[in-house]
Amino acid sequence: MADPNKPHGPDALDKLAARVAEVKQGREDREPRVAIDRSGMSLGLRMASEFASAILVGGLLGYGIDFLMKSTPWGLLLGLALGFMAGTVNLVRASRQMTAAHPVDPNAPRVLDDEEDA
Amino acid sequence: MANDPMHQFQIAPMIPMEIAGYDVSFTNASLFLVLGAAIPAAFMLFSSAKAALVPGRVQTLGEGAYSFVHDMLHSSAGADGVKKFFPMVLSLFLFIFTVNMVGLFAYNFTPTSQIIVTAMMALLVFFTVIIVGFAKNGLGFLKLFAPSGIPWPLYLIVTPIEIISFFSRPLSHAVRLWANILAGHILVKVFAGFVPMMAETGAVGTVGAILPFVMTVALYALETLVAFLQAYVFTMLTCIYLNDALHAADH
Repeated sequence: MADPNKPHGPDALDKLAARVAEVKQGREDREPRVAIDRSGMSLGLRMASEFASAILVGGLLGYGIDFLMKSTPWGLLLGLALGFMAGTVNLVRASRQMTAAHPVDPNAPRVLDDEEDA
Repeated sequence: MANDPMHQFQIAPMIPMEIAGYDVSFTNASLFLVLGAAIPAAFMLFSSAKAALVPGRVQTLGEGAYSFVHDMLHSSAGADGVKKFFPMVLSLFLFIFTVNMVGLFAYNFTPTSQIIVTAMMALLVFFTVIIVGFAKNGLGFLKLFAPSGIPWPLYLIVTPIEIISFFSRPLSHAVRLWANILAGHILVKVFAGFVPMMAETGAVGTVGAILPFVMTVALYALETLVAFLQAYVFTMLTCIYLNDALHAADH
């Protein structure tokens, strides 16, 4: 056994697993987590589709209610307004999700508020 | 027309067929859909054929893809979600990824640039969420539309908003993948079309054609990233939606 690190014996696999985990952890610590969503177009399309689809669905649901209840145009108007709100909710949720996936670096320098002095 | 950027999305029948008056021809789209199913299956079978304790190169790739999706699902839907949905989510990811990647090659067709394909996948996820949600939580699934901890008059506004938001999911889910692939492919084609158009104008144009050519290369790199990224985003959102099906009652 020239290599003292070479695992042998009954717990060889466990030792190897521990070493692999150690190396992996070290690598993860060294490299900062790279944000995966770098492409601006995909970000834009994501937000646009979140917002637009809610308005569309809201309008369609309202139109459907109008069609069934003969209440034109109130269902459509209400549906569009609610769809607009739902779209905003979708946007807030999507951006919250993105922040959760790539949290802001806690060690980043703090940005001062307007009223604060340096 | 070689320069038409929409030409690449045309569906052409390869083996014309007709059943009961319906056109069910085997088209170029069918071919690449089949490829999208066959390549991941072959890859997974091949990479797991040896199943060695110390994995070789192909096995490492296969295990990497497996654990990538596994971790994604586990982090958003928990062990419960992995137990129930892992086969579906892994199939979705590998299918979209393969189809996107194969579609990047010249002369190939990209099925994800057709909204019917992405819409069917989004609806599959949507109905899975509804069916599993009701099966698991019973009527408690409806709590998804009535988040707890708000004063009761607000339910008049919040519940319709939540319902619209819920029904808008499959739409945005499908449109996002489709629009990204469609826009990317058109963009690449348009810039690639500039190259021969400029080269035709003479010596100065030929030198100038280097610019759109460089742009095409850069866009291709971006599209390769988008092909992976959109498969990732689609799968990620699938995981998040499936999580709602399992844990709707905790809202």
